Amino acid sequence: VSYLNLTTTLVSWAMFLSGVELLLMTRDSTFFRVWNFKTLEPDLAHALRLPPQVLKFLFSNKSLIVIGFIQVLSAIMAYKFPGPELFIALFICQLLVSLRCRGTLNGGSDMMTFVLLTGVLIAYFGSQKFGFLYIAINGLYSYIKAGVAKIKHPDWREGKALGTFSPSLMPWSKLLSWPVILFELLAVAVPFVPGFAWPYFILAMIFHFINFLLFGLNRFFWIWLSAWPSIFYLARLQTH
Amino acid sequence: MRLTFFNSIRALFPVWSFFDRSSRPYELLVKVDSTWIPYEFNHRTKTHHLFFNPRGVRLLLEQSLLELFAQDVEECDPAHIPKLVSFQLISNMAEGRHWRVIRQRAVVHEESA
Repeated sequence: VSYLNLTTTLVSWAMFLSGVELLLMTRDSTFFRVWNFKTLEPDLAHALRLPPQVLKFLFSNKSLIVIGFIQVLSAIMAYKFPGPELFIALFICQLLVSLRCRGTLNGGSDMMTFVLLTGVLIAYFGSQKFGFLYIAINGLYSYIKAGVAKIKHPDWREGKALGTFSPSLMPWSKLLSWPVILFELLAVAVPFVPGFAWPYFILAMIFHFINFLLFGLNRFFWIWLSAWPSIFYLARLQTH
Repeated sequence: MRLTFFNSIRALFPVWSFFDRSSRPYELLVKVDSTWIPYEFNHRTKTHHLFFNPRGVRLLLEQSLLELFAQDVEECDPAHIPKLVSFQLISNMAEGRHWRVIRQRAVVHEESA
C-alpha cells in the first residue's frame, strides 16, 4: 500500500464519518432553531459579499443537508476510486460547512482536515513529496505547539488544567499534566530519531483515544490518524 | 462585531493558535425566571461515539460559538451586544436547550395567576 493510497483511504473514511455526523446533527429538530440561515445571513453577507440569491443557494438550511449528502457520496467514491476531482469536492464541502458555522464546525479537527485535503491535492497536482511534507510538518507541529502552549500555562505546569475542563478529572489532573506535556513536546524527535515514529504513533493514538473518551473528540482521532502515513513518510525520508 | 471574511475562512490556515488560549473554558448561565441555570456542555461519551458523535460535535460547536461571543463582547460596545449575530445564536441555543423549563415555568406561572 502506497503512502498516498493509505492517506486517501483514511481521509475518505474521516470525511465519510463527519458527513454522516453532519446529517445526523441536522436531523435534530433543535439544530436549525439555533443555526438557521435567517440568523446567519447578515454575517455571511457581510463577510462574503455575495448576492442574496447565491448566499441562499449555498447556505440555506436545505443546502446544508444537500452538502452533507454530497460529502458522504464523495467520500464513499473517494474511498473506492480515489482521484483529485473527489478530493476537490470534499474540500468544497468542508469549506462550505465551515463558512456556514462562522469559521469552523469543530475547531482544530477542521483545520487538520483542510491540511489533509490540501496535502492530498498537492500530492495529486504537484509533488507527492511536498504533499506529504505539508501534512507531516503540520501534524507534528500541532503536537509541539500544544505542548509549548501548555508548558507556558501555569495551570498546566501546576497540574490544575485538566480539572478545569471537567471536575471528574480533578483527581487525575496532577498525575496526567506533565506526561501530556512531555508527550506533545517529544513530537520534535520523531523525524530525527530512527525508529521513534512507531512508538510515538502508538502513544499518539492512545492519547487521541483518551481525548475522545474524556472530551468526545472523535473527529480529532480519525483526522490525526489520517496524518500519520505522511509523518511516517517524513521519518523514513530523514533516516534514509 | 460582524464576521469578517478572514475570520470566516480561518480554518484554511493551519496556525494552531487556538492551542494558546486559556485552558479554562467559558461558562454560560441562562436566566430562567430569576434562576441562573448553567448551560451544560458535557455529555457522556460511549464507545460507539468514536464513529458518530453528533451530540458531542454540536456541543463543541456551541463551545466555539461561546468563545467567539466572548471575543465579540470584549470588542463591542455593550449597547450593541443584543444586535450581535453571536448573541442571537447564543440566545437561540439557550432557549432551545431550556425551552421545556421555560415553558413549564410559564404554565405554572399562568396557573398560579
